[in-house]
Amino acid sequence: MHEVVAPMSTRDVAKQARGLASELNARTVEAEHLLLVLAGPCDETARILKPVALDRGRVEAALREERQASLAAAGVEPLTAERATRSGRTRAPQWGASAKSALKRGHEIARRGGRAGETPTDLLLGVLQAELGTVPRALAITGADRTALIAHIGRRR
Amino acid sequence: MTSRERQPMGDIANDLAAVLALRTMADTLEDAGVERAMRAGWSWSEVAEALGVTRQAVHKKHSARLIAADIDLRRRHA
Repeated sequence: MHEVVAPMSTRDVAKQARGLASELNARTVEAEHLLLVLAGPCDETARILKPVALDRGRVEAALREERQASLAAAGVEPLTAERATRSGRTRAPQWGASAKSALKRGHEIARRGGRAGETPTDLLLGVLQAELGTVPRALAITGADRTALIAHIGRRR
Repeated sequence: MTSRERQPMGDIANDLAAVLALRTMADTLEDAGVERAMRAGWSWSEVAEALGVTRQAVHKKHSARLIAADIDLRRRHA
């Protein structure tokens, strides 16, 4: 029997992003964790990102490349898997500044659009609108035109 | 400087991104290093001295994680 899966809400996206940050042993949930969920299990936004070749795998690869490039800027090589191996944190990750900003922008976009609650697409726009930091750097690495993508999403609404 | 010059991949942004990446790497290396030291039988005081922090600080930061990882932390000197 075919199971009907309810579309993901923004709350679901946030919850999954926190779970993902925890899996990755991150101290904080950041905008890149939100983007990974929006590019992956969240169908509403994955459909928007797929035509510009931004699926979950590509975003993961771009984030890895961004980290390596950032370390290289300081003349440092990434840790080997063996040296980076450690047990998981016991404390749940807290919300970091970049994720808080993205959530705030998403909320503001929904408010301006006259929607009572923000949709995952509002949140995606909130993530994409960051001009500096890890997410725009990773997007630049993929070759995606962030400004054009924001405009494209705006026209679809 | 105009906002147009504030590119996410420019020289200044690269330096600031390096800071972020190095902080994350330092956190990872600290967690992994403390865990390896404790598995190898180091005392809290030895780990603290190596990190240049107090014994209380290192214990507060890492003990819950190491206990959850089933590392025997009893009978540690100091």
